[in-house]
Amino acid sequence: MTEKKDILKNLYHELRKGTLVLAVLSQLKQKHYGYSLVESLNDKGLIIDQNTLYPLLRRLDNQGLLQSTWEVVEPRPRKYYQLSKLGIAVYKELKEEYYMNYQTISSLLKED
Amino acid sequence: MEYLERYLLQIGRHLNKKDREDTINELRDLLMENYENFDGASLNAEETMIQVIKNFGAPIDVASKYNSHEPLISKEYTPLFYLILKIISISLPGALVLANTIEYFTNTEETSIMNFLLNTAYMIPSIIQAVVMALAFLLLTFIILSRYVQPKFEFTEHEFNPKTLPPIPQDVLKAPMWESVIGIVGAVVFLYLFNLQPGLIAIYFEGNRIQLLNESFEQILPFFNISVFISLGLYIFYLYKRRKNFTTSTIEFIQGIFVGVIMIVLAQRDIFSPILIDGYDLAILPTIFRILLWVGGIGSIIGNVVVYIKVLFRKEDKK
Repeated sequence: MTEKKDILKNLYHELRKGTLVLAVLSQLKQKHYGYSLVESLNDKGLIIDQNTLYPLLRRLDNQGLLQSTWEVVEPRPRKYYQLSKLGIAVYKELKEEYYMNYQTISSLLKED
Repeated sequence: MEYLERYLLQIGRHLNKKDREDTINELRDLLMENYENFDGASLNAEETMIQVIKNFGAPIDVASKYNSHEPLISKEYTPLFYLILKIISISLPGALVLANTIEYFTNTEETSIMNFLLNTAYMIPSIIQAVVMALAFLLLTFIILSRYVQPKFEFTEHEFNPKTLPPIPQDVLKAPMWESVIGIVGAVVFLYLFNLQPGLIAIYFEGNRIQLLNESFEQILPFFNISVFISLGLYIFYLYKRRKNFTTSTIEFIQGIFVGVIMIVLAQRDIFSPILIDGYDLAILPTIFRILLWVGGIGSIIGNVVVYIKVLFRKEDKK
């Protein structure tokens, strides 16, 4: 029983990991700071840990998919993220790829 | 918000230097958001922050998620690595000092505390070499384990209590590692030169060596040795703790005044050998050294008084 639970836990994790980047990119057409993005994703049903999202944002920023700026919003400075030109292009192609995969997998699962 | 800064300081210690400031600033904002939105009506401000920090995780775990590169030692092995590192760092020097102590008291005919302390101090380079080699071997072993051996035990995040986070050292109480290392090396070199090789402290001229200090200096040397041993103890403590405290600052102050007084006493005594070199009038040299000793002695006293007053003022501010 525990073995099944562990296997499922790992598979859920892998399934989710692949789509997390797409989910985050989808929300960054508008400017967001980390905490507001966590809240926004949580409100839409995607529960994400802060210590997962922030490192992910930094990684995407380093890859050039996001552009980040520090803005002083009372009462303290805050780092905002938004899709860069490269990010928009990558997001578009990633989204198309996701839909294609989704349709393929859906038709496979319907055969079940 | 003292706990927040203490927490961020500990996270920063495990982050890559390149992104440290940016990551810390972002984490500060995130934790403040968590604090402001924390649902804990019965808690006061400090308890709320402690709870927020506790929920966020142990500094080492948080930092590991923000570092872009994989650490050399995987997080599964890190606790074990630190445990063995601590055991080696304490037991290896302890064992070597113990062996040296037994050897000194069983094989030396005329024993004295000062000779024993000097004997132990001369061992410091060997101890450092042994510890560095042991730690290098340990590091290598764990790097190989992290790369090629999957641990059988399950990784669990570190449990930690935010109340045990070390306080932020005030500027005047910071003890950088390089300062401690230079202090230890300097103290050992001083003890070695002045006690074992006083002939090397000399004027070197056209292949000749004229010893600078005479027997009169040797009468003062034990006092200098005491002062250097105190410094050595302090630097070893700072190297381990990376910070000073009120007690060590007080010892440092007394030691500084003591050194200042010794230097002034030396300046008034005839401690220099006559420096005779054909064709050169070098009678001025001992006078220059005396002036330097005067300046050094007075400088040491004034400097230590100023630093100690700063420590006292900071202590009052904290109250």
